[in-house]
Amino acid sequence: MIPAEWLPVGCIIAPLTVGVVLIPLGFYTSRRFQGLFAIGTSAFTLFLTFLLLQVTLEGTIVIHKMAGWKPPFGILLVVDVFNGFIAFIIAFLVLFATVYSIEYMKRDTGLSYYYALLMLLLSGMVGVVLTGDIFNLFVFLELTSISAYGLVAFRSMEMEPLEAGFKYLVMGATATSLVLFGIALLYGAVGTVNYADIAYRLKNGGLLVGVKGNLVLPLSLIFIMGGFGIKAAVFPLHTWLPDAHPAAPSPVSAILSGVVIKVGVYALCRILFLVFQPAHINWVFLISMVSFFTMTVGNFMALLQDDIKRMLAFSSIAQIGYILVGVAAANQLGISGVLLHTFNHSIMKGLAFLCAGAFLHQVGTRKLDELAGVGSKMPLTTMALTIAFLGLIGVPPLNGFVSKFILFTAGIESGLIWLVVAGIINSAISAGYYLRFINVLIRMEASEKVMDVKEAPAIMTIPILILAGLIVLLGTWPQPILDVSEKAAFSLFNIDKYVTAVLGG
Amino acid sequence: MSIIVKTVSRIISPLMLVIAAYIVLHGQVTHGGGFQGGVLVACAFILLLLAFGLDFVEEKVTFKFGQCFRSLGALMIIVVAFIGMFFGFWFFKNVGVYPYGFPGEVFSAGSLPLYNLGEMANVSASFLVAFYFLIREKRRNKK
Amino acid sequence: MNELPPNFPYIVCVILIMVGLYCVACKRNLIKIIIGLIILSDGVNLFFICIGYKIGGIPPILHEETFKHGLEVFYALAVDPLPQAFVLTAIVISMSVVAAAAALAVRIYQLYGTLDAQKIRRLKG
Repeated sequence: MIPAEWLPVGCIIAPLTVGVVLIPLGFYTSRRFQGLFAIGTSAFTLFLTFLLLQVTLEGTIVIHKMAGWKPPFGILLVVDVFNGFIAFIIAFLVLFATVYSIEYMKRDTGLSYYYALLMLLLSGMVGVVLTGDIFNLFVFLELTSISAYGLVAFRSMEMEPLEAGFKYLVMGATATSLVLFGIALLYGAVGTVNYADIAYRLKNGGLLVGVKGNLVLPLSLIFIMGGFGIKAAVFPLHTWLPDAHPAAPSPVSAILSGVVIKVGVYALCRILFLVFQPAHINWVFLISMVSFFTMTVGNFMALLQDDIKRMLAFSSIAQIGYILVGVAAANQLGISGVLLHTFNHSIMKGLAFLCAGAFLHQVGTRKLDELAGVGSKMPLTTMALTIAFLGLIGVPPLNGFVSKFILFTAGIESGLIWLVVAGIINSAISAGYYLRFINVLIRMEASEKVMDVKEAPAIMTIPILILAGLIVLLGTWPQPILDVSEKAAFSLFNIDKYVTAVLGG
Repeated sequence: MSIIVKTVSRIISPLMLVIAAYIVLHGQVTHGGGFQGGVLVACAFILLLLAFGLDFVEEKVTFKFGQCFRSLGALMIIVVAFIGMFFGFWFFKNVGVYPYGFPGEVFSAGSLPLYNLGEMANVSASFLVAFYFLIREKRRNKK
Repeated sequence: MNELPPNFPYIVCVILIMVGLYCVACKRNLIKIIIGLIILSDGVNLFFICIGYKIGGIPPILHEETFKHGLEVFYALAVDPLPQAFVLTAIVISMSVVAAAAALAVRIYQLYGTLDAQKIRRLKG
């Protein structure tokens, strides 16, 4: 039927085409059509990424050479299980958020720009994970970031999105320039930008003439890690996130917290474990320090918040800290924990932001005191939010427990006992603020704003209930996703197979 | 704007369009190509906008036309890339939609001039529409 | 030009990057922050081009005169064209980021009436 090599191109180009076409279509078609077109495109992209995942699970690495140029000279799209799984996660969450946003964004104007930016965001993220060389990573990372800046500042009538969007833009653009500087240093050292080719040259000692390898490579790694660290919101560079994520419209907050910061973690993993692996630079200490501070700062700042979306934003920072424990562990179990926690956190945090958006849509406020007692008026949404919070804490029958257990076991296996202890203490602290929110929401006496609210419309409630069901299902039966995560972690560490598949063919 | 600015910009602007056409159409031979030519086309219109005012240019190149033209340019790039994929198996592959010729001639290089034209449409319309957005004044209550 | 150290272009680029970072971090006017972003990306792009430079190089364009001496001489003498392609892409991208930033600054000015970054932080909490 369709050759398997065409699938990665379809995953990237389908949302890109729709994103380009949707803006002039907005002059001639109705808003409902634009919304349905966007849903159809993201469903189609989900289908294509699912097919791609099936193909890579058989063990083949799907390589698409753009324009037929041979590997070190041309741009490649290389997909193994690691890439394919994250592309599937991205398309999955964007579909749910797009379905939700048909009803949520009903009162806004300029919706053709919203759906176009959403499709461009999807295309950019799938492009980041499916690409096979560093410069293409930079290009798609910028596509993602610019769409995200536009979506955060979407409601430009109010002051908060504009201010948050500008701050996010300045920090994101600085991050991209730092990444480009790191890429320039790396290119100056090895003379190529292909992942497989850099790994091959670093292993066989083929640095360009006159380059001192022990100075340039760690410097390049520091700049690249700094740039991607700003994108992934790690400790000293996270200050844009608590302003940007609450200020965006709720489905966009779900996508931002769920998958956009994860592509920063993916790029970091790919560069540390594939590209810089033969260079033997000791980055474990740095990553474990960053992970410790990220967890602690995220949890402690979340304790002080009384705005539900801002609390969820700080909680995202803390969860990135947990994911970095898996990266610092640097073994196969750690990476499978990273993938599993990425999937679980995107579902849980996406669900939490969608529920917070349902509260905001019906009640009209985000502050905790004014949301008191909404549990009796909106029972389905509050129950789903409770399931999401329990999963985020890591309570046993839900999926958050499985992924945190794997992460902490990997940490213990690689000797970072202090980090695992800090992680467990932080999970216990996080129960403090999550349960406080649930306690206020399910109080009996309702505040005056909550008096006459009803449940959110069905188009918003159905994705919420499906995601909540998925959290419970994956908690009691995690085996399929766990298998995929383990295969993905194995394929990330299998550098020789990757290099031979790309260069030897 | 004074009469000198208006007269000179009325003379210079078509010349800029001619130079932009040269840069775009010779993209495969000399420097330049789609992006650089597109920026120059947009600058030609922006020069007219600065000299004569927003309303004069907006009734010639309306906002709706700008958005449609931009999407047409991007769609042309994607369609030519897909033609490369269906006939040559790899995306963006240079199949001879346009004659191949020899390096150094104007009518050469397969799909490249088509990419240049699409890029020029895309970039010039994008810049002009972005400039419309920046220049429009909205009276909102300032707090 | 024999007194200049061989790293001179790189030193200039690093100075530009540091000036750009200073403007982004420490200036209060939004337009100055945007100009700092432009200077930062200019420094990085210039650094990228300088990496591909060979002393005494010729432009990497194939035409009849270069075919006369043979391709190996051409490869040894020609300046590396790959960073130039990368920098072209990076310039386009940073230009669109600056356009988005300028649009946001215009909207902020219309809503707040000022461009001072300290006064815009009223909504912190």
